[in-house]
Amino acid sequence: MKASLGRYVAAGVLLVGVALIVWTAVDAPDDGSGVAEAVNAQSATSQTAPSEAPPTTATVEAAPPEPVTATTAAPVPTTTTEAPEPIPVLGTAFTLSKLDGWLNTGATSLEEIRADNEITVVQFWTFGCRNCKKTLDALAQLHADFRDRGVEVVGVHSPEFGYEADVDNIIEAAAELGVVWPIALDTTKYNFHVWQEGPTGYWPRVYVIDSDNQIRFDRRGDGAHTYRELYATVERLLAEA
Amino acid sequence: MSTIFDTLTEGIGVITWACTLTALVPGLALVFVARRARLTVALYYTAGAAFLAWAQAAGHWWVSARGAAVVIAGVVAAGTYSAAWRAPGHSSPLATGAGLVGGALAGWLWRPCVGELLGDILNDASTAGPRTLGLMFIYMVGVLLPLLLIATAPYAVPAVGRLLDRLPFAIAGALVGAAYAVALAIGQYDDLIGELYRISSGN
Repeated sequence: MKASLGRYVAAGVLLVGVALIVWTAVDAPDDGSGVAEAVNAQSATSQTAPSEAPPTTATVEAAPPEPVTATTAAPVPTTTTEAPEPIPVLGTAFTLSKLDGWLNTGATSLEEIRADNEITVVQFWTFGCRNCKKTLDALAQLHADFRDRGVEVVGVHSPEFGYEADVDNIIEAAAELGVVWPIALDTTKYNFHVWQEGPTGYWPRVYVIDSDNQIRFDRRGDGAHTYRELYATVERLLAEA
Repeated sequence: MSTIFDTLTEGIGVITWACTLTALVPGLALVFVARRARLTVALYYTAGAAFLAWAQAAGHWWVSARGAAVVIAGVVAAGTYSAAWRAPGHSSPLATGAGLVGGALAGWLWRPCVGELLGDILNDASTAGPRTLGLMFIYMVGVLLPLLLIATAPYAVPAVGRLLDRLPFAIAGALVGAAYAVALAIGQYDDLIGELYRISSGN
């Protein structure tokens, strides 16, 4: 009796497990539309008029990012009358060193980019990382909205696997993915480990650096709310500048 | 409840991703090797992986997987397969140790691509310990579900157990385990997985 009960329990676990795997495979969206929609909703509520970004000294001929329609935007959180919490200072930002070069920019250092902008958004990514890809439309939206208000996005490409370290593959992927902002080639992952203190690092991880080189935002993951908060943080820092 | 379920399904959703295979493949091999203690090994492997992954994010573990540490990791990995092979049954300390240490190694070496809920767990790990540790375990159950199901299957379908008990399965697991230990020790494990993934996905 005991043995047969155990057998039924095991069979139940097995069935539920297999059903979950199948259901997840069929159901899971994988296009990052949720992230883009959330940022688009944030963009739509801001007073910022989307701007015509001047061309960069691009070495990557990028496809334009997919337009995100406002009609599909996620519900916008209601605003309250309470004053928002001040944006904390999370530490001093590192520099980017021991790079293999830059793409999409004539700059040769993070300091050069920072000198020309009020705010710098730094994202650690790699083109083979699906979670990173989900965030790119949101970053494209942020880049388009704020670029000529003194905000630059820097994608630090830190490859996880060997095929992601090949610069030709990076250029091809950046063009396909519509990455038009500067890309720092962190082939050895030196900066990936320096910036992400501790024994491990994560893709994607995004930071916001203010004009005093202070980190004002630091999040891991591709969450829609993360990129909505990123957008709002940039907007608030610009207002404070 | 919704968070728990969503966390579980986010973990399941990344089972086939390259960054997940680095944790899943060694676990599958270990379960195949542990013929008489599969379920113990699978459960402890999941717990070990969840704990180390969480401990790193929470700042409780500071050893980086670089330099001499990975050589030692290769030797320890070989030891876990040896222990799993020799484990006489579920209550054996060898089974518990092999699962726990093997899982901890996997959690330590895991370089996750971070989705929405895993991102929340990692972002909050240092400030909301017990909650994020629990959620990390749930996430890891999702990621490692295939090996948990393989370990459970013999109890539901004894014929599967008799099939998995055959020596070729254990030898296949041991060979994968040996390749894992060597690749780790020479610092090539991530690249090996990446190359396998690239070939299999046609990228």
